[in-house]
Amino acid sequence: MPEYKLHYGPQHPGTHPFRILLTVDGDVVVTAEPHIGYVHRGIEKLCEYRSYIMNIPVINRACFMEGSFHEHAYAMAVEQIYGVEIPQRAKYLRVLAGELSRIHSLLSWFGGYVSELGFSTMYFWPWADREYILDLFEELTGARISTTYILPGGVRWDLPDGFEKRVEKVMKYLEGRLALYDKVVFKNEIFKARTKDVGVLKPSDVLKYGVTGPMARASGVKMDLRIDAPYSIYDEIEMDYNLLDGGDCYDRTKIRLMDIQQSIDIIRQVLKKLPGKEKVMKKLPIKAPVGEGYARIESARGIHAYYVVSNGDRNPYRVKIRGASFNNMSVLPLIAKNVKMADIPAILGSIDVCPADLDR
Amino acid sequence: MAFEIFSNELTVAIIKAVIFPGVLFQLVSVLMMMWFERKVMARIHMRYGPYYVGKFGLLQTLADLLKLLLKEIIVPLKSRKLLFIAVPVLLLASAFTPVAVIPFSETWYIFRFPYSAILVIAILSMVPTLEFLAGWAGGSKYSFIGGYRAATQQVSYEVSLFLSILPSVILAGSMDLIDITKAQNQYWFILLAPLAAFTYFVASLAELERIPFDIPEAESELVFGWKTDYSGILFGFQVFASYIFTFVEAALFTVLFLGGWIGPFLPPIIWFLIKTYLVFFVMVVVRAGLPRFRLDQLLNFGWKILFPLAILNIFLAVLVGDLILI
Amino acid sequence: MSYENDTVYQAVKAKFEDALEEIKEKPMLTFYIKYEHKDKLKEIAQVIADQIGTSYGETCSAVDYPDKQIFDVFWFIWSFDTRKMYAIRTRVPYSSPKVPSLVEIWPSLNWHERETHEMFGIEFEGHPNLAPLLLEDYEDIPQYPLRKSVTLEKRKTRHI
Repeated sequence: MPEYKLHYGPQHPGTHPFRILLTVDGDVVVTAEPHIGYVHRGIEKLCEYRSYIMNIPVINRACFMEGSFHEHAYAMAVEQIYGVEIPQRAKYLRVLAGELSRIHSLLSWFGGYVSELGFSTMYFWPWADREYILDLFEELTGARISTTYILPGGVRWDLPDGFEKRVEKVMKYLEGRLALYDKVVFKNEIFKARTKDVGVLKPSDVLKYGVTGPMARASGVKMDLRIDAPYSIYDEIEMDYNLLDGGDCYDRTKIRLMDIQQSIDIIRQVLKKLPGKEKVMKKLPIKAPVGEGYARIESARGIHAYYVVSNGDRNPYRVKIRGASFNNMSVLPLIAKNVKMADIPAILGSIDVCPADLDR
Repeated sequence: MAFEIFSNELTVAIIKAVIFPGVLFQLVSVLMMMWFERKVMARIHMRYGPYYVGKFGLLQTLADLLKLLLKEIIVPLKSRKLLFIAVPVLLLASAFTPVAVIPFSETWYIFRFPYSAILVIAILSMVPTLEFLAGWAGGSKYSFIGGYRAATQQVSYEVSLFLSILPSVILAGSMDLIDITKAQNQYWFILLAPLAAFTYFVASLAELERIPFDIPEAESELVFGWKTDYSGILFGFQVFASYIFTFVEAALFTVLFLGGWIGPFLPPIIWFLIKTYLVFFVMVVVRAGLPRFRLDQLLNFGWKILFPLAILNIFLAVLVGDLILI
Repeated sequence: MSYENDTVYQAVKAKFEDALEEIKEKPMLTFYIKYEHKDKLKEIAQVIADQIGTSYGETCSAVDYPDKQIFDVFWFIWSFDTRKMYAIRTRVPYSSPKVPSLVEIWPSLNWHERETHEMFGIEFEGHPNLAPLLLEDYEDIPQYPLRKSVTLEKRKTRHI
């Protein structure tokens, strides 16, 4: 059969909003070229028309699943411009919100990914577990997903009474569930056949193409911003690199579940080291001084970075967002060469693209 | 070959064909099977399933059927129109036909044919051709790819399916399904030929395009395979045909391996139905619990593992037949 | 000034002192290159890359200053060995928005430069494929939308 071009997406159920132009020879994919931009909302332009605090709901939508990470990075960049130091308790609460959203983002990715391979039961179980974390968020901030909890200057509210006990209950429950997923998914022969040695990413390509996050660690590269260049209070948290050395879809799935376990440990340490009651919000003046700020954080997908320029006005002059999915997605033509067409959903899902983060 | 139909028996046969176990029973059975599958899968998924329409959602599938009847039938511009519309009708017709020779009890069957086991398999082998034609008639690249994938998969597994019924035929000494059931009075054939039961079950899952073998209709790649462009009642015909084939395969498994209507206390027809729906329950649990194979892995499994096992079954059946059933 | 002792700064200053326009320290060590010396940009970047060890290009974009009629183009680089960020910047005039591309030194900047070209209209010489990345399917978005000349409708807001 001669080669012909096939569009994968955006109408396919189960792909995110982008399309991939496949050149297919029979059942084998020769090239895969992503075309993105379907959810481009112009966030960077919108930020220039709103004040620093009014930007938080806009920045939050730069990735709906893990909005806390974007807010955190933006707030750190703005605080660099103002040159202020926020209360210690606020820093711990920011990390708590971040780690909780990391867990629920990874769980929802896991449910979506395994169900794309046909495993319908494993779509519902992680999403049911996710509900407990969303209940925690609702109690803490009032919103389940787009929690505008972190502001430049601190966080908006302190913890409710008895919150620590409820968090501990949910963490214990999740640890049991992770052991169950290990048995059901990772020892399943069909899952192994679909994901082992599929879409292998070499460590040299990781460093060359700017791939970050769990995708890099699954290929054996020691890259975790929380350990390499600790920001916020991560220098007081004990953690180690989660590493696997295969670089295929199986390892990328496994390492994200290891990340969930690591987040559970971090949350427990944060709750133990939480400083005493103090004000968690420091009001900043409306007009920022002239300057620039650059902040990076490690999110569930990789390194997000925010660059904010101020010219002394009420609104920022320029906000540049570097999303982790942007570089992770650009590696797709490299790892999807000479694979069967049925492997494309497996490879694409294992990159864990957040299309909102990709297009902004 | 004497066909045992006289004129007064003809009317009885016609009543059997229309009401039970014929057309009407199959229609009601399909509605109940769909409800059963959705409820069981939902409970495995930690959710409720159909809930609102009728008590326990029993009338949900009837509501879905009415919805499909009222929808517009869209025929794509670039398709081959006559073939496009004809294929679902032919599928439904070929699904109803094997029900005529399956015995629900010793006296309750529509039609007795000395080679009924082969007849059922022969009718089932029309399905890959029809699916390939449907994919070709669809007129788009996606349905064509889905069509040839479906045909490839089903042709590969049909060979194993056919070979898997032979152990029962050998142990019973006849190709008539009624004789095969009667020969299981002492031991059910699943005890004498368990490997054959296993290969038959796996091959039938592939024939029916159920998970873990449903790559032709994998939503994440080809939207819905060769069924993509079908809408309204044409789609309804395919769903019905699929479930009637499921009933036929489960019933065939019961007759060949589980002793058909044989059982204490209850009337034979009730035993037959209980066993058939039990096999269907196992199929549903398998669907809820496994991911799907890729096409080349599926074909590898079908030809390199299942086919040799199916051939091995025949030798084992001859051996067992000599040793035990002397 | 504390950057005087930095090895990277000294390596660049040794060969290209006349091409350096300005050095900033906050938020990261920034080298501003004069636009007349833009042909030496790639060599300067290569010197920096050799000095800092394993590195990757984190992001690349521009800031638009219509009052000064320049684009302030920046590349941010992260080094795994020294654990620091470095920036290479140059002020590109409106009249000739052309800059050499740094894709050969840090391939991770490929899509970033493509997006900057699409949003600002800056041409990166030597880039393999400057086709539109995010906006190719939209017909009603004005060209080069991130420039300050393209305005959104003003919102009427209450000042806090």
